[in-house]
Amino acid sequence: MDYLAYMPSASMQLRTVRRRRHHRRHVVRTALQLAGALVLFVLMLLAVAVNAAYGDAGSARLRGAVLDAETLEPVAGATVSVGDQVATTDASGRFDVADLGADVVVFRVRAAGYEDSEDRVEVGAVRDDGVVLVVLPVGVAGEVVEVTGVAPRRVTAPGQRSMSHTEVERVPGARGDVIESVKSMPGVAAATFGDAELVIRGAAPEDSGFLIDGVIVPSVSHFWGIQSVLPSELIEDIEFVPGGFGVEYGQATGGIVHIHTRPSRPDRMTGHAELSFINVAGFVEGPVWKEQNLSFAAGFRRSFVDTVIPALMPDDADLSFTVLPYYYDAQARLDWVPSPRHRVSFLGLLSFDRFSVDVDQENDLDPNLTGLFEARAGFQTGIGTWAYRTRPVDNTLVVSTSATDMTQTVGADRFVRFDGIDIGVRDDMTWRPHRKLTVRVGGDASFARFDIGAVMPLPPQEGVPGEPNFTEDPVAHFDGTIDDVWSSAYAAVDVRPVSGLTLTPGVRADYFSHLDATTVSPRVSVAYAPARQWKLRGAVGHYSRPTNNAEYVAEGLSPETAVHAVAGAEYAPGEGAAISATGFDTELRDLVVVDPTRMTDNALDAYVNRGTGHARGIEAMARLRRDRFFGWVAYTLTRTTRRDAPGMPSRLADHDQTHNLVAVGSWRWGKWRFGGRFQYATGTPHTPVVGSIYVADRNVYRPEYGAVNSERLEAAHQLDLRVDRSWQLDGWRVSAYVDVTNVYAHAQTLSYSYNFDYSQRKADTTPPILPALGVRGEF
Amino acid sequence: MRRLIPLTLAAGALTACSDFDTPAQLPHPQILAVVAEPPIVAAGERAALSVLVAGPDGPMAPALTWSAPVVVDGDGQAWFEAPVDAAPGFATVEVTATLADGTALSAEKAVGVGRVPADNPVIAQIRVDGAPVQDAAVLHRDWVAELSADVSPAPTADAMFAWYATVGELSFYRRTPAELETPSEALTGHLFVVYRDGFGGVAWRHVPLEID
Repeated sequence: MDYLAYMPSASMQLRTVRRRRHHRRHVVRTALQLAGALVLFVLMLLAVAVNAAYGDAGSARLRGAVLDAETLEPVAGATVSVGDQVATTDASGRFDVADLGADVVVFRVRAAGYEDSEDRVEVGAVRDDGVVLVVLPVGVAGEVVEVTGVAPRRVTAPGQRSMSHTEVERVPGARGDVIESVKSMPGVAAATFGDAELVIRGAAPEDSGFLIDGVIVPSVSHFWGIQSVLPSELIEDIEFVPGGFGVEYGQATGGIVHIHTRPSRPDRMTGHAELSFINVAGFVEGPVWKEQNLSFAAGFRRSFVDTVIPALMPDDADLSFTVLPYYYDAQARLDWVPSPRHRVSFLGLLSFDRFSVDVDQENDLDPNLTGLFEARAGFQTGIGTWAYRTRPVDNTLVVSTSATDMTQTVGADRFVRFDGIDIGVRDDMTWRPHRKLTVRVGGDASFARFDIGAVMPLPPQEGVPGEPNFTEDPVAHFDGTIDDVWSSAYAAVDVRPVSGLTLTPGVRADYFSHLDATTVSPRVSVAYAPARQWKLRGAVGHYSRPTNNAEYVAEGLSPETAVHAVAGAEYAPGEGAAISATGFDTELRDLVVVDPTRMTDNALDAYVNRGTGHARGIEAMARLRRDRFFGWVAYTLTRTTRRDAPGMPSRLADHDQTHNLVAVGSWRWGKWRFGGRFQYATGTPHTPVVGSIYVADRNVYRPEYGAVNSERLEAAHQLDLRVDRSWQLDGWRVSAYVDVTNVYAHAQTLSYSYNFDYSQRKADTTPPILPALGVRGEF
Repeated sequence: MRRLIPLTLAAGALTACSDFDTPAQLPHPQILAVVAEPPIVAAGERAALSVLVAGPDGPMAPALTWSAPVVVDGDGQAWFEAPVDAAPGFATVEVTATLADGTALSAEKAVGVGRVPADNPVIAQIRVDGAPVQDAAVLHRDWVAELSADVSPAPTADAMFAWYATVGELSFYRRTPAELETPSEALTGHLFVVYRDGFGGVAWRHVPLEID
């Protein structure tokens, strides 16, 4: 079916006019593309040139601690040697080694009653709070030497948090999942099982950006958010910036979730096999060529839901799976450290989901929404990184490529088909010409080709009540190939005029070819530490993002934009303890909304940039990290509103959540670890159905809605508990966990289902209780 | 496009199943059909409008209120008259059926305006397990009967069926053949079928239903 046959003549004329305008802008666009490429080239040259001038590696200093691997108690009197440097740990297990002559050094640890350990550490990749070396008592099989943390990547934004991979694995209720664990952070709407989306400071999910090692990825979760596509063991940490982020990040008007993967182990072969409640997984890492510092890591996961469903399906079910749901993902990473100044890595990611179900039952609300449902989604991503570090200059060049394939078929003749391939390049350079000045410049560019076909109702839209109706709703048609180019460049300086004060003005420019638009986003942040325990931060900036989903193929749209204003304070009364509060105000502009009066034969014509919005609130967090304990209490007060067109009344946004309280704690006791998470959140708004009318020609009822988002669902609250236990068995470290979500079985209402004429409704709720089990064996 | 289209639509497949009463069970009074005779009228001509309302006890005759421009003559017959200068297209009329207990049921119907001559389809016969139904549909208890209808002209891909039975349990009630699983006791009730040709034409049949 050719969608062009259905294009109204007015739209055809519009396209012709646009083509003429396109020619006029061709010169400008080409210039911007060349500028983007030029910026990257200049950055590379600058990195080499500056290094030639300031290439002295200089001397470095490292502090750290030696801990007992079994108890995590500090080990006093241990000898830590690095080359000729020797230090002895104090009563708290701490050491301090100065005058390190290289960027990569080998630590050797000896302590009475413990196995000797040895490991290579990249000095530039260690967090400022130091190296943590873990040693095993004599007689305990295996050896674990772990380096945690990375260098601070940039001046942090107010409210910015990070989670180590250890915390990700142990947040109760998160089942070790990356995205689920982020939902325990302040500023993120309450966790809902099966919801893959993150609502950050009231922003719509698509407003926020997900990156892996600096690259925006096509998808972060498997079907219905059941699991992230990246296993936690591959993660160094998660950088969570809910707003006010720096010029390094773009294409987002909400928040940023940046997942940094960790280097593979260069010292020895290790790995694990895992059987959890939902999948089987394997992971292995180790040296490939020790002399050349070449190491690798590889992981694979495969769900086994498809083997469980047949046993759980009742014989008289009105649906049958023609392809039982399954997913798999795989990861591979190669690390090569050819010299102390250079680190090269390649990360390959693969993900695939598929299911097909035949629903053999009438659908009274939407008669066309029945029959065969088929969904298939997959992507392959490769990310190559070359990090070049010297004292005055750090440079990271990232080259990436992704291939994405997605198909959804609904019923007899509704479908979305998407095949895409893109190649991206990104460069970030940091230059420290003076101790009071840091210059950061960078840029990125992406070249993509998407083959898209769709005959579908418009996807759910902010403020539009109900789900898309395949019987009643106008249909969007698209069939074509889009060549898309976007590029950006940024520059910022960190100026430290006086002790404790850092000012960071910067600017970012983004060019989106498919929108034929360029945005310029100035941003400024300030950080001030009036005393050792206190940090004050503030940021103001402009942000933009391209259109996506069905809006991506609509014509005549502009980027959505936002202005963030954020201010916060943090007080750290002691080591590992911090109390912080952040206020935020986000103004959203040019939001894409549906204008029913513009609806034509093609529903895509109804999209316009007329919406505005506002999100404001306060986040507070108290956090404690100890050797045996980590936990936090976070509270967020938010109000998020939207206005669908100038002159229209303001209303609550779909994801508005007034109160959100989350408390997380995880405590280690010998070989046991106990954890709990409690969360309370105001119910999200919904639009009530106040009546219905029978559409006699189509034999369906059309609901009549009350004021948009004028009611709220009931408040959500739940308690999650987790217990971990580990054993040593014949060279294997075996661990098991039980992670129970919603312990006291409070069924949270997510939405309402209605009968055929909307005269009755019932609540659609979360699973009342969800236990998850897992066993892992590590060698 | 930097993110995939959410897969929530596919999830709809699994949530389509619910334990509400279906319209085919006629759990409460409903408007089953609104008929315009003829379904498409030329400018300046008129179509007679009628409504089929039924509930658990069978057909009903509620008070009807029509929206403009429908007019009701002295015999109580409702008429839609297309203006002489009407452009080709559809005109939507609304009707409210008010039951004896005050319950109001609303429906809308699109009447075609144009020069295409059109007639409502005809349901020539209702069949149970292939056999034509005469005065009443008589079925055995504890039985799954196949219900079908002979319609004229032959159905196209746009055609829609709607079956209603006040006893037993109907499956595939939006297509033909439908299946009626009869109860395990002798009962009487009502069987309706409404046929829509997809172009505005509507026909319906009602027969008593007896479970012996």
